[in-house]
Amino acid sequence: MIGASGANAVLSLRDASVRFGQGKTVGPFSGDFFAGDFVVVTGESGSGKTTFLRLCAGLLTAAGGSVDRSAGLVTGYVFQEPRLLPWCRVSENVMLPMLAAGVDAAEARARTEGLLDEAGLKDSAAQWPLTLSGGMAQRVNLIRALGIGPKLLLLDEPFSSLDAAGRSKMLDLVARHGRDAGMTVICVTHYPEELSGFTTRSMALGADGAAI
Amino acid sequence: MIIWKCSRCPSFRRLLLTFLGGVFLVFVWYVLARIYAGKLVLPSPFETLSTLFGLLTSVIGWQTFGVTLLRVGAAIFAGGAVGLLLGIAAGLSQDLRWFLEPLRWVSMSIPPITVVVIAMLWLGVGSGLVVCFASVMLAPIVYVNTIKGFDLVDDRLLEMATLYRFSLSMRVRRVYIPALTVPLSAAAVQVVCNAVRVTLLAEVIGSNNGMGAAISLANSTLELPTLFAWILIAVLLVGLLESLLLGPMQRRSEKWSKAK
Repeated sequence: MIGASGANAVLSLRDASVRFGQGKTVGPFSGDFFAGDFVVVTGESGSGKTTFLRLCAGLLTAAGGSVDRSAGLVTGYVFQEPRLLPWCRVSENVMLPMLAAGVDAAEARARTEGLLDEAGLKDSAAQWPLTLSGGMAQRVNLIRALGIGPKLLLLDEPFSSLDAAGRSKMLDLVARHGRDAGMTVICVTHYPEELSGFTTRSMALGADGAAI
Repeated sequence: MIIWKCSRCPSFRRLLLTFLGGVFLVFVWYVLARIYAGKLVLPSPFETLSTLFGLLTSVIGWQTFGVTLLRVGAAIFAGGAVGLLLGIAAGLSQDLRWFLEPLRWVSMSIPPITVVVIAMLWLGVGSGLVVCFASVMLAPIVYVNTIKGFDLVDDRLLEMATLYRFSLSMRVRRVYIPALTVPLSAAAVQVVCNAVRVTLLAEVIGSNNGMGAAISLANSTLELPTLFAWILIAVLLVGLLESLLLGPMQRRSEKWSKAK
């Protein structure tokens, strides 16, 4: 689909649904997402918000309909729980996705230092993840996603465990990087009002699928 | 009183209690040796320690010990490598795991003595037989614990690795192997204890040298203090390997979890 600016959609979902085991089907979801979009996704618990994000990320395969991702779409995902490797230090956790993406080790190290500095975690680079507070771990989760220079950033209720200051820090980081890189941001949240200054569109998930 | 007063220093308390447990065992041994004195059943701890000292100050004693130690090391290396590699492969591929299930079942249920006898027929007596037999006995322990570890790997971390396109080698090195260290540390203790046991068993039956052969000779000549001295050396060897090798390894691999 062509957007208002004439750009092609980075990600398109057409009646995409997911089947879990033999029984429950979640979806169908539909929507087009363009470069620079900041879409906030809301919905009641169990409406399939995380399933929708995992479908967008390519972590789930659509059982029905289609999901079209632009070729080579680099995707960052801020998981609801940080999912840091507990046996790797904070800096390694941030660096590993970059190394996996083929970034040169020296470049990855420099980028990691910059991101840790921006996130106020410079002094925590050598810490083990289990020693971090919830807010710090969530910021590492975010900069790990930002480190690979994603064109699509998916955030799954990233602020639910944070206090106001922590939420503000994370939002600033997302907004700064998103704006600079023309990133498409899709954020699932229960508190859309906190993102009102940043969002370009909102999407509410009902029990029977998505509506923009 | 000392034990209860040192609740603030758990490592000292642990050492003290372990030492007291050892003293208790020696005391029971001493009492039993007194009861059966002169009946060629059980030598006293003093006779045994005196013989042990004699063995440790003789070249032949050290040569005998060295041969067994090398065989134990070779068996741990070979059995560990085979078990670990097959375990990683089977952990990554469910199909391979099913394919290897009969082999695992056979190797874990076959009586060790029959394996020694068959290995003697195929390999003759000597180091080949001992190392081969011990490796065959150890590999399934490592294999089973590796697979158990794979089953315990957090799916959410694997999903993260998938999302960030970790290569297979990065996934193995950064996700699977660190996650495997906890179950494998437990397996390592089991492997070391069993390595000494099965190596001695194979040497008793199928070797002309090594501690097992010395035990067999001492048994046939009714030299009970020598027999018990070698048993004591085997016990001390396991204890040394456990505390000097496995302990530091375990502490190093788990330092991230202790940091909290």
